[in-house]
Amino acid sequence: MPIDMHVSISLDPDVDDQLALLRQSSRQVLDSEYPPSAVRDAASSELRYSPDFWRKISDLGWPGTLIPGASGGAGGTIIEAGVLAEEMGGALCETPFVSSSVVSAHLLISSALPSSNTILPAVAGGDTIVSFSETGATTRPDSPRVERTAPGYVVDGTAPFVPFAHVSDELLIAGKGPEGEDVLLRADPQDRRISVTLHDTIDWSPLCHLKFDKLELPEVSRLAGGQEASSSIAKALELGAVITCMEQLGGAERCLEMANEYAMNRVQFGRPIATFQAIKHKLADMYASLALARAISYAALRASADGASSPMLTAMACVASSEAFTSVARSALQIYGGLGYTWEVDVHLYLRRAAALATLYGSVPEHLDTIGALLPDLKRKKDTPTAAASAQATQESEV
Amino acid sequence: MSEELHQSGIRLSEADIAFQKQWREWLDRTLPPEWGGSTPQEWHDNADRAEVGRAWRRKLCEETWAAIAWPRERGGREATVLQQVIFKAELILRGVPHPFIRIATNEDNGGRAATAVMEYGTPDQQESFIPRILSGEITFCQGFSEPDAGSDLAGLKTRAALDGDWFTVNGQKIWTGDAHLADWMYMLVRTDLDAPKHRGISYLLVEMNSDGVEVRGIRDITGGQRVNEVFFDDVRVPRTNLVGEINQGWAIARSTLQVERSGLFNTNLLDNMLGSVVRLAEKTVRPDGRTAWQDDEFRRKIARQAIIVNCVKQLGYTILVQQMRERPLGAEPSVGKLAGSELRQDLTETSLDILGRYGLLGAKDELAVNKGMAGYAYIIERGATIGGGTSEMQRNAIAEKGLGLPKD
Repeated sequence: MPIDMHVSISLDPDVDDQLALLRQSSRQVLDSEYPPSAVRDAASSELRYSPDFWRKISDLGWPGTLIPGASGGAGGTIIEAGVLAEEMGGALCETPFVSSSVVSAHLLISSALPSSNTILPAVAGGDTIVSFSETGATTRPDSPRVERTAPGYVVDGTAPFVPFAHVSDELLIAGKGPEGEDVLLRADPQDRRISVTLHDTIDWSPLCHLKFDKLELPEVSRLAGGQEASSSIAKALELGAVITCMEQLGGAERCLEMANEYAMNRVQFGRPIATFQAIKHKLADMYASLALARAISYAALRASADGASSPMLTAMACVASSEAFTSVARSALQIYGGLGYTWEVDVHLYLRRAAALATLYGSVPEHLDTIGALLPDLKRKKDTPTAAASAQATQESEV
Repeated sequence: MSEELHQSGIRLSEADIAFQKQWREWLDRTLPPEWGGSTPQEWHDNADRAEVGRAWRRKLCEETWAAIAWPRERGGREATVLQQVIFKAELILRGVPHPFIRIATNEDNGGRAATAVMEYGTPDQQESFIPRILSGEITFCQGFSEPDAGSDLAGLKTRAALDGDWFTVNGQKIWTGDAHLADWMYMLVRTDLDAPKHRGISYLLVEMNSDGVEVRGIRDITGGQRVNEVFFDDVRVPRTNLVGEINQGWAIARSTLQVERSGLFNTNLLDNMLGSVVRLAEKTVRPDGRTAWQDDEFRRKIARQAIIVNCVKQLGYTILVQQMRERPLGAEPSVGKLAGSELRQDLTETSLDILGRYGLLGAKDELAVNKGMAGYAYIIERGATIGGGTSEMQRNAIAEKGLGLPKD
């Protein structure tokens, strides 16, 4: 039985009907073009994704969702991209959608340079795949160093986790300049000064290890610098984070459906195991964690679309969705019992993807520290007269 | 609040804003200033709270604020779901103690009785009871649970035998809040021993000073008395006090128990509790000279609790959206209750952990922190996962409504 929690938890009350249509049509595409066997095919293929499927959804315009109409895209919102990501997440679809069509597309769109705009139509059409060495580039010691030289820049160092760099046509590099400022550069991933190695990963997602060997880039390759680069990169990472939340929700919901169906069909001691409260309550907890994560992730996505986002809300959505997906997948595997421990049953694919997605745009402890750093100020602002009061609502009602 | 509503995609109309303004002005004029900073313990221990509640109801009633959701001809304002939220949010913002918020929103026991009478009662009952309830002249308690009928409420056994124009009631109710203060009880009684359990129950109004009614206080976990046992020994109740049809009581109880399901009210309390814990962690200095907040373990634990507060809040807004669209509610209210109640306990545990031995001290101790609230809250919050449907019942409801699993 499909759970369809998005029916009871509204993503955007203003446009729910249009979103429902988008969801329905994208689900149809995924059901017919991306069955569970496609997940395994992609995982065992050399490129670890399906260029054919990417072509199909490109023909449908999915990669152009966020790109303005004037640049060949659909001029849509991050909410629409979110619906697609949720559905693709449910199918465990591995595509460059998040890295190319959302994160990199945002960096290109927000750049004032004409050269960025000229490649957007090809990005919208899926013909050009853009990757972004984005792994926390604004803060981490492992991001590449960028040196200013008289004619341009020199990039040296490594970017250890870049999705889809092995098939990308364009590479965007966020690095730290000599003064510690953010710089956003555009490079040709085929440059012999860049080595790209595809990692072996827990869920076979195509993360690449990039090594820059004194890569020299001309002045024109600079898309943004300083504050402009910082805010553009921060927004791109925020979009990547909230879109990843949507993938996680989709994955968790599908995984919960599978576990629920299995528990209804699996008979032991003469009755379906779903009728034992130990299983029934486990399923209820899975549903609860998903509903809570969905509520806050939808809020974060709406805020992101309205320009009302906050690092706090994004971080909260990331933790809630990451933990919902990982915990739902673990519980589903437990409900499947011995079968869940086999290669043939798909549960482990969800378990693996959940583990991978939970690290992509910051780990849970990092998000918790972001929240921890912001919470005291927020709480001071909202001080209310009842602060000393402990809640007591149920105390008043009859037991 | 308005900002959060906006973020949830909910827009206030001009009528909503005018409503809010009018309500704020009335509160500015009317609200007793001392309600702002009081603790729950102070109100629980306040012997006058029944009288204060009556007076509050009377004031609300005088300017038609006593039942805002009701039709105008019944003394209401036909407030929309959203206006009801605005109304309640204002009371929370001003720190009105919880029992008085329930009175204002007509979700106290009197409000439930009045709603039942309005929806199912005879014209005579409506004329007799509704004005007296709304004005605070008479108060009610709720007689549902019995020693052998808790989560399985429909298994109740208190018997009401009909003979001519009179019922004779025998049996026992338990966990009856404020039975020692109330004038009347609305109660569920068994009127058909042979029917399936849900179909043999009726809804009766019984005067508490009737012969054969005995109230015995139960000392609760805090040592205070807020709940009671009520015994019925051949209590005579006129047939005219039956609400609705005979054996229709289960449906009436269900429809009047539909208190605010969005849980948004509770999330404001959660927010306040969270704020207290953050401040407590910031100001509590540990032996190594650092504050509890500087301890990664505490800070991350509290950050997790902050996430759940916001999840429950956002879930509340999505439920509100469903209510505004007049769509049926699924498992989400139960998710909110489950997560919110468990979080409340977690927060009190965190406070106690932060304080160490200082958390053990009672309100009047000279070394007590925050009037001993941490210890008191730790004890009283054990009820959060029991009252209003246990966590286990919530999980059943989630599995049944959300996942279509069979009932136990």
